Amino acid sequence: MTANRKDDREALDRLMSVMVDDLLNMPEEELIAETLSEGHNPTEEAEAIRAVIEQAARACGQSRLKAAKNAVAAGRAKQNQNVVRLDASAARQRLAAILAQNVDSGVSLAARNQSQLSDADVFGMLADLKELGIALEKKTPESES
Amino acid sequence: MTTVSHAEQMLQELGIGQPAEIDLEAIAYTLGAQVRYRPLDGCEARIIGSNGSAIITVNSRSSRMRQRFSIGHEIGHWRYHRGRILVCRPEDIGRSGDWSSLSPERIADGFAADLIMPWYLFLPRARQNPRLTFQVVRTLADVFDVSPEAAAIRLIESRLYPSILVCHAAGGRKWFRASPEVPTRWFPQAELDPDSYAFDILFGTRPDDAAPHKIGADAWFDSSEAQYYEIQEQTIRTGDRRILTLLTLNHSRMLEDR
Repeated sequence: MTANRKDDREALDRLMSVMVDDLLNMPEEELIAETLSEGHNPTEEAEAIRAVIEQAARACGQSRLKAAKNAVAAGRAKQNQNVVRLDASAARQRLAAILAQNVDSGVSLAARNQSQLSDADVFGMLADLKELGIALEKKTPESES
Repeated sequence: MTTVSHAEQMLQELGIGQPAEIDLEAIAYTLGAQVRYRPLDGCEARIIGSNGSAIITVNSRSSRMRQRFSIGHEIGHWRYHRGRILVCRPEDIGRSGDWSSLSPERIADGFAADLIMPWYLFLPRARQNPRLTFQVVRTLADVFDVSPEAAAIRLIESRLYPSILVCHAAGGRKWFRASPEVPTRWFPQAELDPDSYAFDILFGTRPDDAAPHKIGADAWFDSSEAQYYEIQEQTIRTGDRRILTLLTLNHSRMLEDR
């Protein structure tokens, strides 16, 4: 029974695709003539279809936004658990080294109204980098080979 | 304003049709960026990203309106400056010192304004008001959940009013923004004129102006032409020992290009 329903749905999808392709490939004049022959106003029909498409696009966007809101709410409780075990001076050196290594390899960093970084800021940035999968450990000759 | 900006296009693609629907954290999430709130000492906000994912951290000690603008600003960096390190040279991280702002900051600011106050939602509401006053500014600031200053700047940029927004502190003029309709010869004086209502608000105990006052234009502009015209002036305090003044130039001859 379930298999039959699936087959039916796939058959219907194929039929819809054929009909849509048929419409898309039809010359504009022919489409207008056919619409007129059926007693419809082509401009009104086009506007109605455009409204349906816009409504569908809006609904799709709203659905994406709703999913994002739910994900944000679900993730709110989750804090960055990454602990960076370095002293402040070493942490600053590591951050500078990581950014120097990554200038040409895709790390993005921007800060608004940036002034001097506190130790807490530096540790926070290292924790963010760790969460994003950037290795904080110093590369040794062995690890690079 | 007839073209749709990237920020506005993004909002429309998410089906956003009301200001209250502009959920910046959710919008950031659709772009792979998570927003966190944490005390920050060195900046208002930052974004760190890699491989399509990013963490935006916003100063938890800032006002909510400032946080919103900061999130929009960092989303702007994620949209336009991905893969770049903008705050400083990496070697600067290890030592103290100020980092100068870079031109991408303006791009990110513009993106934030378009994201938080998109013209397609802002203009229809602004157009309902034939005169620009701080009451209009506050109404729109509430609707779009932004500071009065941000809403006022947006209204000045809207081209709906021949107005200038000026910010003063005790040391003099801090900045001003003029509507594109206002000729550049109308350049507000650096120091407040004692004849202006704004002077008594900044230096005295006069309360904020509830409505605009008529005043001679020469109280605000050095041009000799100013003595022939009257303008409207309205001033409010902004809470940081600064005042904002709206100057409206209604006289048609003031708006003629020379």
